[in-house]
Parts: sequence; C-alpha cells; structure tokens
Amino acid sequence: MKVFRARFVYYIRMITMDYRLIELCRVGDSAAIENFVRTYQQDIYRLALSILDDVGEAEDAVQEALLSALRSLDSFHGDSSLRTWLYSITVNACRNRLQRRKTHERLTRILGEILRVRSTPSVEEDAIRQEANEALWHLIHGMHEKHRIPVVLRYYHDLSISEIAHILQIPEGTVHSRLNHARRQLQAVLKEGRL
Amino acid sequence: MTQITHKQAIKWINRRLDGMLTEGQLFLLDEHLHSCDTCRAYAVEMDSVPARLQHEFRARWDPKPGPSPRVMQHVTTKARNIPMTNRISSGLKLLAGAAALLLLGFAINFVVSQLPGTSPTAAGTEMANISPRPEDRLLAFTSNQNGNSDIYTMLPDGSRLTNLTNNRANDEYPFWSPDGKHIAFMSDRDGSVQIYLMDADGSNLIQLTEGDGNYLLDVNGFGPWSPDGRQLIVSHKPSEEQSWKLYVMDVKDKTIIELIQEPGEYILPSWAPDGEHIAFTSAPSARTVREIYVVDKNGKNLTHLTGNLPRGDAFLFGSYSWSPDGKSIFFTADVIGTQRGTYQSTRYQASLDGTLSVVTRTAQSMLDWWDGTALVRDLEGTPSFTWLRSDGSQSTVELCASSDQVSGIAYEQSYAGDSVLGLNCSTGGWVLYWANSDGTITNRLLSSRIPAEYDSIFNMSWSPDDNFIAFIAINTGAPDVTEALYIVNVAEARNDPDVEPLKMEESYGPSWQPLPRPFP
Repeated sequence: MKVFRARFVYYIRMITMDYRLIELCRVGDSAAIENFVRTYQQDIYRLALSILDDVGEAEDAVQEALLSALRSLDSFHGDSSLRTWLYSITVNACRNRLQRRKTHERLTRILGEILRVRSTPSVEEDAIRQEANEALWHLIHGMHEKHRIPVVLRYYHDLSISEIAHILQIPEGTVHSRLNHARRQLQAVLKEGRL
Repeated sequence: MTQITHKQAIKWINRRLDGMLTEGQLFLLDEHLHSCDTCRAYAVEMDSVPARLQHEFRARWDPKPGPSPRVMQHVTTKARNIPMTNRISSGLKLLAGAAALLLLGFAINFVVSQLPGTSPTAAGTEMANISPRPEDRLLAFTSNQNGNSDIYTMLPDGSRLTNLTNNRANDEYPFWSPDGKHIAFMSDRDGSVQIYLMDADGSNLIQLTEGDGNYLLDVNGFGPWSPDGRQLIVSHKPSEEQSWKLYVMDVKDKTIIELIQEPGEYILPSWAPDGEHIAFTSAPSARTVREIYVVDKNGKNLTHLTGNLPRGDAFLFGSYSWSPDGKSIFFTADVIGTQRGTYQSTRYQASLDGTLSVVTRTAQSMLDWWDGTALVRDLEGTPSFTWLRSDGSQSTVELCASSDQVSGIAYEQSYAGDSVLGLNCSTGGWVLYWANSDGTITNRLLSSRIPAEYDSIFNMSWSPDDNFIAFIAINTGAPDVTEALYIVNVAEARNDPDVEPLKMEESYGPSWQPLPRPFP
C-alpha cells in the first residue's frame, strides 16, 4: 500500500513538523524567521562547507539557500522532511557556485597565461599542501562534483543511500555507482602508497 | 551451498559498503572471503577507504566554527520583503490564470462522483472473551517486520504477541471498536485498499467496503468509530479521481452516507461524544492553514466553524477537541503576519452553528488548553515552556539544554490530566518529560533518548489505565520512511528513569483496546 502510506506520511509530516513556524515564516514573522535560521543554519553550513571547502563561500551559499527556501515555502508540501528539502536547496546553491568557480578559474588561468601572472598561494593553502594527505585532497578536489558530492554526503554527513538519492534527485543505483567510482579512485591512490 | 564467483564477490564487496546486500548475500560473501585471499585483500583495501575519508573530512571541517552572525543578519533583513514579493508575484499569476479559468468554468458543468455500491455479505461476529481488567488491555498495531504488513496484538510489556492477520497482503492500521471486541483495519488483499472488520482474536473477518477505488480510515488522530460502535468514518477515492470524499458507513448493513459533496483533502474527522455530529478539517490546497467543518451524521447542516475567525487569525493545522456534551468545539488560532513581540494565540469555543467565543488569549504559541490551564511555547527558539493557570499563576520550565533548538514536539495528556512531552533537542535526539496537570511538577521521564534519526513522534496515546504511553518514532526524511513503535511504562519510569522503553522496529499504528463503557 505504498501509495497510501505516502498519503499518510504526508499528513504525518504536516502535523508533526513545526507547521506553525513554517506558516509564520511564510508571512514574514521576524521572530519565526530568526528561529528558522537558528535551527537549520549550522547543518546546512556544514553541508555547504563540505561541498565548497571554503568558509566564505559556504556562508554565502547558506544565505542563498535560506533565502531561497524562505521564498519558496509555499512550494514545500511535505513530500520530504524539511531538513531534506533544505539539503536539496543547499546542494543546488553549492552546485551553482561550483559552476561559477570553474568559469572563474578558467578565466584566471587564461588571463594568467596571457599576462604571465600567477596567483600567489595563501598561507592557508601552503599549510594544506604541506600536509601528508595532500594527494588525497588533490584527488578529492579534482573529482567531478557528481562524484564528490555523494562522497561528502555519505562520509561526512552520514546520510544513507536513499537519503542521498532523494537530495540529489537521482536513483539509488546511480548513487551507489558514483560512490563506487569515487572509492575505487581513492583506493587506487591509497594502494600506490602515495599517502 | 550456493557459491559465488570472484566477479560477483567484487561487486558485492562494493555493494556492501552502501548497505545494499541482503542477509543471505552477506552470508555468501562472508563464505567466499574466508576461502579467497585475493578477494579478502580487496575487501580490506576497500573497507579502509570510508574510514580514511571520515577521518580526513572530520579533521578538516569539524574544527571550523559555525556560520558568522552576518548570515542571520543578512537572511532576516532580506526575508522581511519576501511576503510582499510573493504576493505581487501571486497576483500576477492569478490575473494570468483568471482568464483561462473563466473559459474552463464554462466548459465544466458539473462533476458527478458515483460511489460504488456495496454488496451486503453479512457474517456473524462472535464476541471474543474480553478481560474487564485495565491492565489486561491489549495494544493492536501494524508490523512490517516479516516483509509485509500484518496486524498484531500484545500486552504493553510485549507479552502475548499475536499475529491476527497473517496474510501475504498488507493489513494496516487497526482501530478497536468502543466496546473493545472488534478491530477495523485496512487491507489491500482485494487488490485495492478496502476496510475490514475482525474480532479481537482475528476471527470472523468481514469485508466492509468493496468496489472501485480505495477506501481509507483516517490515521491522524481521533479514530473512525462512532461512540456507539455502529458506524465508521471512511474516506473514498475512485480510481480515476484525485480527491477524496468522506462517508459514514454502518458496519452492520454496510450502508453509506455521504458527508460532504465536494471532493477534497479531508483529515482528522471525529465524532461528537454524543454521536450526533462529525467534525473534520480541510484545506483548499496543500497549505498548513486549514479549516474546521462540522456536519450532522446524516450529511446535513454542513457548517464552516473557522469561517467567522477575525481577519489575521488562522487555524494552523493544529488539532481540535469536542466539549464533553458534544455541543461545541475548542480550537486554537494564531495571528499570522504579526511582527516580533506581538504574537497572539487564541483559544476559541465554536458552537455548532459557527458562533465563536474567546476562551483565552496568550502572547505565545499555545500548544494545548484544558480546564483553564494553557501550555504555551516560547517561539524565540529557546526550549522554554510555560503553564498559564486560570488563577493568574504560571510556571516556566526550560527543557533540553538552554542552548538547544527544538525541532520537534510531541505531546499527549493522559486521562487523569498529567502529560508526556517529547522534544527533539538539537543535541542528541528526543527527550521525554512528564508533567503533572497544572505544570507545577516537570521531570525528565527517561534517561535514554529516542534517536535523532527520527524527525517526528506521532500517534502518541495513553493506555486506558494511564500506566503506558505508546508512540511512533518516524524518519520522514528517508524516501522509504523508517519508523518504530515505542511503548514506555510511564508508571515505572517515573520511579526509575533508567528503565528502557519497549521498541518494535518497522511497526506503527498503535491502538489501545478500550475499556468497555456505556454509550451516553
């Protein structure tokens, strides 16, 4: 009776989740919005940080995600939990930033070659490079986001395959194959003794 | 013994890392790894990857502090304009849609929903032997532990567990009749979901509904039985329709009366204590602001109880309750759209003709009200709750840790008036508290917590003797939804918070066998 379980679950979600808070946020109640932000900002900040790996960008992505969520509360019908819904919005905000970052990096590289200007690595970047796990992080940073995001959702946020599938809107089998691809790459690096 | 190939073993080693192997596959893989050095070495290498990643990720990101205060400042400042922007945007959409709707309105003359007939297949229902002792009350529930749903009964300590349905179809959501002798439930054994009736021991099964579409019993709160045990509230959706209708069904002759003509999303139907009227809630769309209606049990005199609320007040999908004489309904409405510091919750009493009177008002969000006492919650995010009493006194308690955010609340009052309050505290899961009826005593009920993976606690209900409380902990975030039935011996836990609750995995829909009581 899966169809009808879904109907029950929808009601369960709407009854038990903090529906008053959601409704108050919808109409712009400032105390409710503060409460909403306070409740969820830590979790989605960690999510953004783990995808973008940059404190400043993560904060910007959190702001974008929270405002986007508050704008579209009308479209939240309890099809998933509020947290899962926010995770999906945050992942999308991060993906957009990654896309912009790629474009920016490509431009910097092209300009750098033309002007023979190399960007000076920051002290923090230097410190990271000096760490023994440089190869591992090199690999993680070099992964395509379609592999890297499932990896951080699984191994930093401890989410199940089905939760990741729901957040990324892809089948569970695809989540598994992407994780598998990433794990094989990482295992190869470990095996070669480069770490 | 079936053996697996190396190729299969490699594939399964990878699938195992994502929890995608069955018990049987895990066993076969284990057998293979015991005899194959190459595959075992591969498994060890692959197993080391997740551990290494977890270590690296935590070392890199955990020490970073949380978001700076500028996030809060930026979001709250920008969010102030959202309702206005949304209203403008909705207005434009409405204008665009109005023309199309007008044309559509001419095209649609009427919609006739024909309820399929029910053929009477009456069968005798021998009364099961029912114990008069409150402590012998059974708990009926649904369990999916065997791969399909079946209905079980047991005593609240877990003893006398009995599978009443034992059927390969899905049998779900038992509801005891008021005399404690029969159980109504839903099953898809006929292909579609239909309502069935059986005795307390699973015998004398009767199919109550049949025909096109699906019939459901509301599982959200009040239960479907009329106080005299003769009728059930059922909802029905024909297979080609998108919306539901509410009906009253006579369990003896299976006749059906339509309660509302307009199909919609109707939930939380309930019988008045005198059995003469039925209340239910409805929303025109999937919004949290809902409306309360009341109708005579013969489908006449439909009245919109929340229709006369003052502008700004809204019934935010909370529950409602009947007055003991069945002549009025209590509910709480909140003023929405107010600015900080001007919050207002109002407890209304609605007569069945729709006349509203104010019972009490609070400046905080009212969770419940009874006999002049209101339980209110601080909306500023601190886990603070206050009992406001009719004599003007009040007591405030801060539950969870003071720095905690509360992301979920479950609350249920016992027949004697004390209550259990469950809070999903941001540090480590749900904590259960016990409070006496006026809130002068509040204690933590259990030392252990209900795990944080469950985002909601639902269907909280007390045993007829007030000694036990049952509830469902549910993870609605998982697409396939995981849930567990918990039963807490409240009487014992109040003396010893270290007692462990009884937990039944993959179980839901608890219903306590009532004590037989005379119908007024």
